[in-house]
Amino acid sequence: MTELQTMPSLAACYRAAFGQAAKDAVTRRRRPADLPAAPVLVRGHRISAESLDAYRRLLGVGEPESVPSVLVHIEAFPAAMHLMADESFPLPLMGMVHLTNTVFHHRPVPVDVPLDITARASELVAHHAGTAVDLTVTVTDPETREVLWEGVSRYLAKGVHRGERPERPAREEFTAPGMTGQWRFDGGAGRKYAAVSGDYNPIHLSGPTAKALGMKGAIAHGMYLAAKMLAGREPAAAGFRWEIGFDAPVQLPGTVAVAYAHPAAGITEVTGWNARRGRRHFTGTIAPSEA
Amino acid sequence: MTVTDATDSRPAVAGGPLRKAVVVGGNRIPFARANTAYADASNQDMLTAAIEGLVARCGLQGERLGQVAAGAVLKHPRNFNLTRESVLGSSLSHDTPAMDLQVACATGMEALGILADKIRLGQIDSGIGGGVDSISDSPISVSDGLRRVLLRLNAARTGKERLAALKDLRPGHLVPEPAGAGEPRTGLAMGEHQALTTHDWGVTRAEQDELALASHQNLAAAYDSGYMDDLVTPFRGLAKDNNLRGDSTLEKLGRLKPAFGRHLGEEATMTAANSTPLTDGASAVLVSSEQWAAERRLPVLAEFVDHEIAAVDFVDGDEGLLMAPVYAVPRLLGRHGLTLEDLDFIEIHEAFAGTVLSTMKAWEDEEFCRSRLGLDGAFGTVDRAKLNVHGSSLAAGHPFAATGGRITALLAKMLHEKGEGSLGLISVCAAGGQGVVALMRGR
Repeated sequence: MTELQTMPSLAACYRAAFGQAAKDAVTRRRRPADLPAAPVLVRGHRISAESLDAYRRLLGVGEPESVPSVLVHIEAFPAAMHLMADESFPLPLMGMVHLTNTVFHHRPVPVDVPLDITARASELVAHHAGTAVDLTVTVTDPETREVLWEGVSRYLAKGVHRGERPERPAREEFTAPGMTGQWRFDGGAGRKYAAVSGDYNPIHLSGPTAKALGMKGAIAHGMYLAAKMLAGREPAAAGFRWEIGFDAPVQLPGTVAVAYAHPAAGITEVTGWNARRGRRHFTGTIAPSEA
Repeated sequence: MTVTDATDSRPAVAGGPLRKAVVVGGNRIPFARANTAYADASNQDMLTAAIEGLVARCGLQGERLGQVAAGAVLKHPRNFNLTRESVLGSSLSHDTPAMDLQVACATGMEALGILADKIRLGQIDSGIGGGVDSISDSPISVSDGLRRVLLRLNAARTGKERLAALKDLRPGHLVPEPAGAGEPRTGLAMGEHQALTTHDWGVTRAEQDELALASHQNLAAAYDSGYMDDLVTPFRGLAKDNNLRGDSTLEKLGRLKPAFGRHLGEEATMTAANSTPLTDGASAVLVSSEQWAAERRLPVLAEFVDHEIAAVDFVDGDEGLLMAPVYAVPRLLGRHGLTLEDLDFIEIHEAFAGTVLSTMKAWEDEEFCRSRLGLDGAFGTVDRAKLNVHGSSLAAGHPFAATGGRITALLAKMLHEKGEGSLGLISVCAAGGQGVVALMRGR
């Protein structure tokens, strides 16, 4: 177990990963085959009232009273990044793509109280386009040892194949559901989310910085879509789970057509797509924990 | 203390019987498309003009009314007492109290409903209800970022604190934010919401264009015959609504490209002509007890019988944004033992032609009326000969808060001409999935 007294900075993680990538290219180092067994533990991390205020201003909603689920992810995310940026990590951090997020938000996460945050790499998954990895983050109340929040994020390292290479699944035909809403992201949406999340990944910030990393242009942060999906819809008493799976990225500036549906009591299914091009951006679910 | 035989003279709030609230008169200024005739008129100017015209028409100079209730949907923060300021700017007694209220496009209806209830209860004897809206002079907000900087600057005591506040200023903060960007919870403009409802109910382009054309032709005929003379007072060089196109044709309307629901492609049907334009204007309606009107020899046009404010859950598309009146009308008529067939006139505010047509299709749909409205079968069919007889918002325009007053004054006149006991319905949809409906009886 790697124990940290303060939450690492994302900028330092990006710098380390970038440096490592450059060094690996020169020395032709082969990355280790296995996931690091040791989790990273950050003790006593506090989510500040200022962070909560900034998050609420971005999303434009006041609820819930406690920390919104995506803000918990934002605050805990650097622990996972610390793990992924390390030279012992089998996949290169730079250029990784976010595939899915699954979160169990068991109990309300309070503001400005110490929290223990654990991040571990739980699984390597073969993918038709590369290799994916699951990072599991757990937020625990240090007093009661109760798990308040746990989330699994799956990232894809494109073009990195390790042995078996699954078939590309047949692309399912996307039929747009009935639109119930629309999200407009302006050209500065990536920078606004970065200012709140502290995640200054260049692919979200501007056209030129994204193009420098081989993208067509700036794209919306996946967790920004998750935050919009959950805005105003989190049960105050927690006890819910949500998941989101990403398809085509949202180019900035851009408009996302969304559909919220309720297939069963308490369950919300969300689809986001580009109405003009008929391409799906994401699908998501919000449901009670037990459902 | 012993209560004697004075029961009937006591107001209802003190144990007496409910009394009737009646519409005595109405006045509005002509409605003007945004950024045209009233480009330089403020909400204050227009509301005062509408009230003052009503005061002149009904001889209310120096009169202390029970209350004036009005509002605006788009309102400058400095106009927090918009209505009270208009009272002070009118020749009503300055002892007349006022209130501002806001229920989006149903503002005027709710203002009148509240006044009618107070009159029925005996809390007041008279009141003016109405509303005003200006798109041309609408408020523009500074960004939250700039606002926070300015507030901190204002609170700063030292130069150092002021500097610290200014340090957070970013160029992007200086971009102003116009008001009213659609429904906050869905991100969709009202027209986009209606486009979904219009599509769901299978309302065709032709039906919408026909309704729009009828609205223009009927209102133009009303102006031509002098019917509007005692309902409208000229303002700033305008004698009638400047959106009115009495000579339009289906061919002309048919040439327009869709303005809303463009994501529906070929199935997009809503255009600038079958949707209301952004409009400036104001209206005011005088309501009172029968006794108050009789004492002043004012005509009693109609009784304001009842009204209901309603809402539907539109957020995830469970119901259309503008469909609240569809639910409220059966409840309102039901509690008076009435059906659509009992009505002589039906005024359904034409926010969009699609709104009126979706409303009517819903009432004709057996399955919808059973499952959603809890009725035994279809609610009924609106007789087109009774619908928006002298035109509605598609022709006149729709200055949000002013529309309720426009319709109430018009319907009161129509019912008065139709005669004692005639019945009329008003249905006004509003943003936020809300709506107000009202029942009136001719006198």
